[in-house]
Amino acid sequence: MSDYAMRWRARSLRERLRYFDWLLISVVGALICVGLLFVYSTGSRHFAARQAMWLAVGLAAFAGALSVHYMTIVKWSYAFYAGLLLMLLAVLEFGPVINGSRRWLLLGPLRVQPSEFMKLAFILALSKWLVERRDPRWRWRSLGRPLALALLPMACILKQPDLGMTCVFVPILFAMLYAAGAPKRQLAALAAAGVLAAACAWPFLHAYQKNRLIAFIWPNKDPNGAGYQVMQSLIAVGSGGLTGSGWRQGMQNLLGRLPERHTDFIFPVIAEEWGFVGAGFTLLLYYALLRIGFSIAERTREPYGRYLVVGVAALFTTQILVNIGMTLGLAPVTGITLPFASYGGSSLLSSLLATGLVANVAMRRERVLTAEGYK
Amino acid sequence: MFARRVRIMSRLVLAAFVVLAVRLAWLQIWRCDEYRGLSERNAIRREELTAFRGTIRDRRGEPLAVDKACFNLAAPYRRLCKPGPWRAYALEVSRLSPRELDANVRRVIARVKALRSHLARARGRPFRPRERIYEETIAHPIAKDIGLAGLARYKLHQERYAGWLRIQITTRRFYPHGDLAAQLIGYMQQVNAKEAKAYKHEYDGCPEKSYRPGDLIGRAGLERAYNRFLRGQRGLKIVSWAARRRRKTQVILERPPVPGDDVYLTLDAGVQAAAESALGSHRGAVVVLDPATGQILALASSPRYDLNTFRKHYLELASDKENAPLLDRALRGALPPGSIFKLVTAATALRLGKLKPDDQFYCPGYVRIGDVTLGCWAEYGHGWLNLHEALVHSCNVYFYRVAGGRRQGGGLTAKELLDGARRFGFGAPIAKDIPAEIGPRLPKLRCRADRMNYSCGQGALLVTPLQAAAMAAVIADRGVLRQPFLIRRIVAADGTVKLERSAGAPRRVCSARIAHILHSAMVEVPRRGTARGQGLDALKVACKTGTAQTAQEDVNHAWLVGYAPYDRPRYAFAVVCEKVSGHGGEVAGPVAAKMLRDLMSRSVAKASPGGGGLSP
Repeated sequence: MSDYAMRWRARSLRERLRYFDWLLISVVGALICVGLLFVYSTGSRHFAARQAMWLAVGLAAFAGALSVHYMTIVKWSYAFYAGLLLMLLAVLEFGPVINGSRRWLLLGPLRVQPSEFMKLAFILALSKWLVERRDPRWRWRSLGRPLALALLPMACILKQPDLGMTCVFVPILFAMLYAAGAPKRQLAALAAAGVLAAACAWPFLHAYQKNRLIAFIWPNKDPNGAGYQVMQSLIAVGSGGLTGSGWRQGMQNLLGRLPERHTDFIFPVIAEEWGFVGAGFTLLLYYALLRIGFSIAERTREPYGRYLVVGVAALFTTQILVNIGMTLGLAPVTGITLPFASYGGSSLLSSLLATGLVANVAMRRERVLTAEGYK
Repeated sequence: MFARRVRIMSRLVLAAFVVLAVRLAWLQIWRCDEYRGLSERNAIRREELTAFRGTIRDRRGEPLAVDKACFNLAAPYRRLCKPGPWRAYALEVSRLSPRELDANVRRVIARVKALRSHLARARGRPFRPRERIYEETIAHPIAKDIGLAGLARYKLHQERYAGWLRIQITTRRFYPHGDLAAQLIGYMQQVNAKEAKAYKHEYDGCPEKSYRPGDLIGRAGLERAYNRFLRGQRGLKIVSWAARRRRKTQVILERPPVPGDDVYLTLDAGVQAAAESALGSHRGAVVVLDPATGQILALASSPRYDLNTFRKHYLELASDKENAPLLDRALRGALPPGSIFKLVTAATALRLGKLKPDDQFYCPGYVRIGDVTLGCWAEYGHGWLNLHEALVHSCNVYFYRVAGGRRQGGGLTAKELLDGARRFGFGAPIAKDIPAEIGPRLPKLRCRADRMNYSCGQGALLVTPLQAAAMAAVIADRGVLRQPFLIRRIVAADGTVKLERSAGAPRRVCSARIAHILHSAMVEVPRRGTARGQGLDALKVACKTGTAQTAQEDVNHAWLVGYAPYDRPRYAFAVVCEKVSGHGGEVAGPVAAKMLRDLMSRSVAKASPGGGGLSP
């Protein structure tokens, strides 16, 4: 870190504004607007107002994440990581039980979900580790640290229990290791070991945990009635047709047949009320978001920044694909939110923070001379 | 390397999005009509199927509390809100009086309205007029348990009632024996708001057991303690009306309900009935144990109430502070033991070698320590006595001397006395499988007078009838305490045995020699001691009486503990009658005699008495 810090020559404000990724911001802005419209459409002015309040907080956080150099943030990443790990432990101890799990901490009037922020802290910590590791070669044992970094929060989150959030860490870990050049056979071995460990843990689970996992993997087998949600979701999407029933006109939405429609199942509401045109447009916006993310990663030379961006892009990819896939009956039903659209303060805040970090990396465009850079 | 790998990832993401877009187009463009049809017809119905609650059975499988299917007459909520022919129809079918029916309907409407406003408050905004909460869309029972005759009347004119009334098949808790072991079985009530919230998603780690408002939860006794076993799992049925044109429904998912587990008790309904009828109108309790195994055969508490009509009389029962009929006296009625506790004092002193059976003390009728005078019940004293005679005649002064010594500093220490009681199981709940049981703490013994009082079961010492019966069982089983227990088996609906127990853990309390010394004295008690003339002698009973004084003059708690037959003990028992004017033998003696006479004649009639096997 220190030799990089010596060579920093910060970009001027003009340069930063010129490099600022306005496209990214407009895409995110459009997605947030769609989200707010449909949180309102699910019938609750109350939720929309709260979401708008969180949006204000989120924009402040976004500005904050932009104003500080991301290297400074990365420098403190282990501290963030440790702090959030402590918060996760505190959640297990003091968190109130809501819908059968402990996920939130009550801070005054606000309910904060530390696991949402843990994802970011994990990305920051892992990118710091990837750049600063002593031995640049990939040995088997060099997988140990990143694995530990991922498994600690995963264990805490699994205990809450929040299987969906736990699983989000896996693709992030793989994407960042893959981008950092880890050999493919190591990644394959890691994946195999993961499957094996899951299989070994199976007999030790309680019957109801098994039921949940079965429902998670085969929702149609359905010990918990998850098939009902999928069915209603498919009806909502399918009945939308080409142009949809119109905003605040969806039958499935208005009659409240779609469970969790303001959080995890908001995409079917969009699809029902705006039809294929609107849902396709939303899908396009999400693809644009990811495409911008990956292209920023590609053109960033500075290693801290590029890993950071890859991590965030992997995070968004996972959430978007799993959430939309689940509402279209392509993925198991899990409690993964749709970034920017789903109702939920912590989710919106962490998504905006993550976007802020990406925009931060994009606008600083650190000049670094690396061997790869010359190629 | 980095750039190439990022490009590969980016392409993978593109592929995934193409899959999503194709799926979206397939659902929204090609299959649009099908789904639109489903949506318009409110095509999916989700029904929750209630499960039978487990049965509580006695040792022979005789049901004590059982869920019975019953037919309720129900009407859709929207019908109930408006006058219409449903009312006349309902009167016709249910044969209720118009007043009762109207009251039921009013109760339903009030509950649903309260729920609606509660929900509106909870989510912070009122409902739109066309918005219906779930309870407003379903049918509610307006006449419960109309019986087979009611069902027949409904079926007779089914076509006329269609759309106005329907029959719901639900379950109702039924108690075949009415008031048998009422306090022990306990009762159920609707879950309160706090529980309903806490168990909305899960109960006992199982979402299918979750509680909804209006569900019943065990509130007292075994219904409460074993609620998690007794409660079954709700089933789920999802039906689609997609093929309505062909008048067919398609079952998308059906998960049948799982009935609750059956709980088999060690209790014997016959013994319990004998104990309860012997208690009669006395306020008190009877506990009967099998001394060889520790199985609890009867836990009778009086006054009782009929479980089937319990709800109607709940307020009366709960407010009767004087008789406290809801109190399970056998498990929770803590009383001073009186002279029955002398057995413990004697066993402790003998065990520690501080007393020999032939040690003689002189009883002048009182003992004076400082300015306190402790009396014996025989005003002019018993004269010279050894241990045997002291137990037979229940001489207080003898035991004052045993515990307090002949002079200051002698006798047993406070620690020795309290440890002796703990060995017999006093001071803590003794049966570990009945959460309702209490075990009153042992008192602090500060001075010599305290110790003396304690030795005769007076003062701050409190015991429960179950503990007293366990003490008698120790002597019957030659100094070994088998931990009393009540739950014999828990059997799931599919036949798997979740818990099985046939004998309590044995623990030696005193040597067989000491037990024999006490035994030989207890055999004499009904012959020529404090329980003579009550007919206990003929029943081969070995027993010890106790008369615990209360603050009021001439109001005592009458105890009798013992076992029968004394040569081969089959029943160890404790009888207590609260606040009576006579002494132990006079009041509790006839109760025990009546019960044992009943049991003995029963065991002659039936080949296998209390110790018999389990035949469900």
